[in-house]
Amino acid sequence: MDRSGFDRIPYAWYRDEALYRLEIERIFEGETWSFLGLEAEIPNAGDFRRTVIGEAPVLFNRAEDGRVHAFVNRCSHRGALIQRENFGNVAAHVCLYHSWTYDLAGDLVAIPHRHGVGGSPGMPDDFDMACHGLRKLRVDRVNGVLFATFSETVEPLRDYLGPTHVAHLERLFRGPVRVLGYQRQAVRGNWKAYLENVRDHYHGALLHGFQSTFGINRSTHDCGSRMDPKRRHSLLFVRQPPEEYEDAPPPALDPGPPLPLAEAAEGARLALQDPRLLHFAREFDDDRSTTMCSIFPNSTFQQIRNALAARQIRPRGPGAFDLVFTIFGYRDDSAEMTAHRLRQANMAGPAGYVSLEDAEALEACQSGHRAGGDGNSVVEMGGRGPIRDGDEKLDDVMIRGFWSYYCEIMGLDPREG
Amino acid sequence: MDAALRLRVEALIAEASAALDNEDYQAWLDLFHDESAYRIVPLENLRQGLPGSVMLCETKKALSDRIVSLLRANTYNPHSARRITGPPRITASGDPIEAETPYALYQTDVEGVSRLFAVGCYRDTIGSFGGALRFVDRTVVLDSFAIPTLLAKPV
Repeated sequence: MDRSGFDRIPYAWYRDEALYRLEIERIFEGETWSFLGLEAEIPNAGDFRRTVIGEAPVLFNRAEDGRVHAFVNRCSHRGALIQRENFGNVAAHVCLYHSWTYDLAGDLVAIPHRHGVGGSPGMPDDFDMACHGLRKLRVDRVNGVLFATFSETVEPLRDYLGPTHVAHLERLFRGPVRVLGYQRQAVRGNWKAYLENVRDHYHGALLHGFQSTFGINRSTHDCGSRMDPKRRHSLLFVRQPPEEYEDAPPPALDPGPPLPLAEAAEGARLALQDPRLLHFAREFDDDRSTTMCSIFPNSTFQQIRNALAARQIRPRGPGAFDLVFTIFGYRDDSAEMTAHRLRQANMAGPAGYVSLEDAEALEACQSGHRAGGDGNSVVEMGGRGPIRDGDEKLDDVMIRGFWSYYCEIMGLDPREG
Repeated sequence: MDAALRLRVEALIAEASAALDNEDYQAWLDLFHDESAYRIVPLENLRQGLPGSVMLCETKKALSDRIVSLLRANTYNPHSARRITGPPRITASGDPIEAETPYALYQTDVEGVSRLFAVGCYRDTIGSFGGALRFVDRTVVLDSFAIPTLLAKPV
């Protein structure tokens, strides 16, 4: 298709209920792969975790043979949630209501009183257990990152991601990882606005005052945007010049009192009193200090210096979504490196120095869009022409890339509103 | 522990709440010892034994950096905050003192609409320095680990 244009997006697309239902059907339950979780979250047989894909409650676990299975977290009997805890270890999944029992592959293995009891006839003779398993999703992975799909026909995961994004995930998940914690955020905005946000090179230094205030945003830094052939995924990166990184976590800080606030907060350019926050210990075979990789439709993988996280987007209607951050490091990190990652986790997330404004901006957009009537957003920084990879700081071309694929999968044309 | 010491612990915690509610951040910082730590931890991480926080200030300098960024750099939802705390439960009464205090934190927006922002407890380690009680460590447990919108100010 023509990958140019897509520079005007109707506000109605961020608030329309019917369109949202269609998005769940065509995108989240359609021909896409969604981020499920990390292998490291379920290391042992019987380990399970709850998650959400689109609006579907999903359960994933590791079976006795080590395989990972994912299924809709809904009993085939009356439709109750089969697991109500977020994580745990079980031999089988047993519904609370009538104790229908499923094995770790999601197959129905036991129904109490199936053959009757005390003269009651039980289930009909032709009731077929094999037809009443949990709704299974297909699962595939790149290194330790698990993806799942409802589709039987979508292309294989690696083809779906494309070589650039496979290579990036292999870089970020270069070895076995260790989950360090979770952060969750409930945003009153549209999920697509979040996918725009992580493709938006333009807003960083303008919205996030931390960078300019503390003098860490230098326009001379090399950066770039990389998309897949269908422009549905994005990769945004910033390079760090060699004189600005180290090969080890920072040394201990001299203790002692901070400056009085009035003094510390004075002047145009401020300095951190605990500068370890910004220390970049180079750990990849390149000099990219920030990378933001967004895989359509529900995930973003973050590297902000040494702060690593997977972000999952869980839409909740057109006007709200939840964001779940899974913070991780590597299993072979030193204690100092783990401490440094936990320190740098301050950079992102719901309280992130360079991210907390995003939710406020998205909510301000949603409030504006909800006002009703016509109107459209303008996406022209970097031009209206062909949607191509670039090495520009100030562009939002990848946002147009996102919309070009969104329109393709949804069968929409923004010019028709 | 004796009633006088309990009153002093309660006073310290009340002063900390009032300083944040009133946005008197210097007064709040003054309640921390020069070598102290502050963190906000989602309950789900504690339950799983995971070390991740949503805010981690390992030093008082880092805590001051947070406040400077809040005052000078960050943009957030305009609101006022109000903390309701229950009586502290003193879990160790030596030196240091340890106390656990339940809180509810409400935010009120510019239209005057209040909503519950977070509920949880403060787990405080408190030392006595020159006769004054100061926080040596304040860990804010966030029962409400699904944070509405964003978290800019200390809890």
